[in-house]
Amino acid sequence: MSEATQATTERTVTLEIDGQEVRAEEGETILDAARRAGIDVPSLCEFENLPNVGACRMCLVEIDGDRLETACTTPVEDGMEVAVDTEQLWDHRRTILELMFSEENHYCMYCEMEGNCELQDLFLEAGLDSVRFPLEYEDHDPDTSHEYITLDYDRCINCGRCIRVCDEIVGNQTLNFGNRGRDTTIVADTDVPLGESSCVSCGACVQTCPTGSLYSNLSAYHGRDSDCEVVESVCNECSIGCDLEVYRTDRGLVKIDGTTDGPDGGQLCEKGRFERLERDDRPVVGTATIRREGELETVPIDEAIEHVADLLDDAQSVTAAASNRLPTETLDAFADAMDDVNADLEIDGADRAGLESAVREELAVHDEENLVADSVACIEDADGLVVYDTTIVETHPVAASYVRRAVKEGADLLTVDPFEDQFERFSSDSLTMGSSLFKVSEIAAEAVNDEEREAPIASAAEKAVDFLGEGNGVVVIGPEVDNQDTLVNAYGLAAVTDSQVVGLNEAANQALPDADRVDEVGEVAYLFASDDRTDDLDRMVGIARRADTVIVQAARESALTKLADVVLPALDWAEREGTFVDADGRERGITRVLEPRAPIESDREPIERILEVIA
Amino acid sequence: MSAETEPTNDESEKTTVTTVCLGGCAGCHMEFLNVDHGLVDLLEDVEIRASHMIVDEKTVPEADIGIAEGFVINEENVEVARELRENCDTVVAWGDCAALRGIMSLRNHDDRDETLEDIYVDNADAESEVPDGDGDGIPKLLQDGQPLDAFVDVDVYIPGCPPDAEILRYGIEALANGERPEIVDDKLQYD
Repeated sequence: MSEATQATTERTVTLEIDGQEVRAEEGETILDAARRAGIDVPSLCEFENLPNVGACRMCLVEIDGDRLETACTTPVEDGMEVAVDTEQLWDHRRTILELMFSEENHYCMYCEMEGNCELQDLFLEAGLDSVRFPLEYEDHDPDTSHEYITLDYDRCINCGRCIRVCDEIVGNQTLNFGNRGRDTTIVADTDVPLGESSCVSCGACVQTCPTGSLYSNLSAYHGRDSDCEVVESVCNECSIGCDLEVYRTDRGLVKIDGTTDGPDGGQLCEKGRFERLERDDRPVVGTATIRREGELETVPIDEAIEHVADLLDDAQSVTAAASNRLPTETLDAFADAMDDVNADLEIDGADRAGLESAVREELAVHDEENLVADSVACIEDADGLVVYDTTIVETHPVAASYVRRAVKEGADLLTVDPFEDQFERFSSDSLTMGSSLFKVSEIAAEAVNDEEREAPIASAAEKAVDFLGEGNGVVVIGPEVDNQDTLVNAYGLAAVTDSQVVGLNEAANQALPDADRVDEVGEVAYLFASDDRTDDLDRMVGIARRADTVIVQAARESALTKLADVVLPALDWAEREGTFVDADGRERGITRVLEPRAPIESDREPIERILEVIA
Repeated sequence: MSAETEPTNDESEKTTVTTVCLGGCAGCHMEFLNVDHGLVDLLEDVEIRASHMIVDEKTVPEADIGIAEGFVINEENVEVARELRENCDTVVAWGDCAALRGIMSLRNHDDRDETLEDIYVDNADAESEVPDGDGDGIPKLLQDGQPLDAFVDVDVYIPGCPPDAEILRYGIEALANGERPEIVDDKLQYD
């Protein structure tokens, strides 16, 4: 789904739909033409951004009074007369709905999706008040093996939307039809439990399911769509910045969906859709605390701020670190403040960003700045791909789906990863031996320059050149690449093959202040962890252990606050607002979804007040 | 609808209604009480001959409108359903169970005899016996439950679990006026 804006094509075909004259584009389906003209055509298996397959038969229309076709797969023709809303067609639709009803358990009364269900809506529209067929009463055990997703076969109508979204949009091809014939069901991989499958937990299938067959354990029974307020925002778990629709009620967050008309086609990833929503059961840092006689004691926030100001002012040396998911405004304020107290600042990803911008500056000198891709989405249009560091499958999952989609469209993929090729099913070749990334890229570059042919690395390097040379070449550099030589070699490979480079570093927000890896930890450490959790906290915990005095600004209690001498409250992701810069360099707006629970309006507030006190 | 109730101008001749509860939870009958004061108004035009929450009547009296709640699960239900059809001009399948099978149909996933064994032997004390319905005064369970229209012709379906009280009230009023109730749009419910 590239963002290419389609020029308004001429609508040269004229047809009649339910007596209304409709102008349509050549080759367009009846369904699209009708929808654009505001004519309602019922459908179940059709979904935005997915190819139509005509599986559910709900969009059955009568053409020229004599034949029945599915509107979603039949192109318009000049002079066509189409009927959608007739008694006879509704009779057909009702019969199909009765058959669907009779196959599984479609009682809305005890379904999570009641009130949010496209099948229910059609039952109601078709006036289904009785069913002429005997029911199957088959036993379908739900698949509850997945941490976030339940697959309830008893609600499934085999429309295949989940399968198509998993294949076409996510490119992961985990879901498929199995047990074909009368007992056709959705299966994961070779009919293994979803939780043990190749599923990347992006939840696209949940978002696309028209019934209660696929639902999120985190959102189930938290509220219907109609009970929710929808806040549009942007995900900043990584630098891709997917558009979000966050559903909330007075009781809190209900679910997070991708925006289907956005550039990512409604895609999100495990981090954006589920981990963000996972009820963070760590206690909220609701007040400021200062450690006295070993215990963190609640103090008025002003007292904590004055104490922090004194600590920073008196310190011989200060080390600071900040979460890379914070909005630009907050990061800037923090960097300024830390600059004022001469602190060494560390932000995960900033060192790599610094290295990479140096390489890019160097390239600019040589008029090679057009190597840098305008958009991460260019991966999709690649004919040849080399991915350095396949951990992007975890760190930038939506970018990984672009890679898979490109391969699906015929691109050749070479992966370079010292540990494990996470694109194993998709790559044409991979270098996974224990050699460092640097070594691999160096040899690849040599192979280009000297046509050196040393198995196996050189042959793979040769392949890299072949793949990238095939037309549209893209080199993707993942966040684990952290030395200048590898970067230079990767850019060099792109230069030699006239390819584009997509550089993805660890930081979510790309508007990073100058920051470096801190080697020597100062006397006082100011660690702005925000709502970081698990692995993201590791670096800061390491710094905290080595500092004499530890100041932590965090939204939640954690291993880090346990080491703190002063804790200041911070906002959770849903409470933040501001801007961030994505991997394409675009400034994106983060909208506040929930009101802050801590007694602060913004994360900048305590920082600015600390500076005032010091001044 | 096979038989329309004649609209009556004679005030002494009210439209008569009989309701029965087959294999149901009585939830539809309970919900009907939510018409509340509306029941008083309804009774001006309608006479309820039998309805176990209101008029405890052991038979199925003749009426213009016969309304059945519940799934048909045993032989008694079959008899009552047939009596209702015989004694009433219009028959209404009331609620998800009568119309669409509903939650009561979950029993069809299991074998009747095994279920009875399971409940009355395995999960009961030593004195417990399986009420198999053969001469023990207890209606015999059908092998599988069925919706009302598997046994008798149904004229009006009102699904819902339960359908809102006002929907049944509307249905009765429409029938009393000699109209066929239109159970569509917001009157059609599944929850």
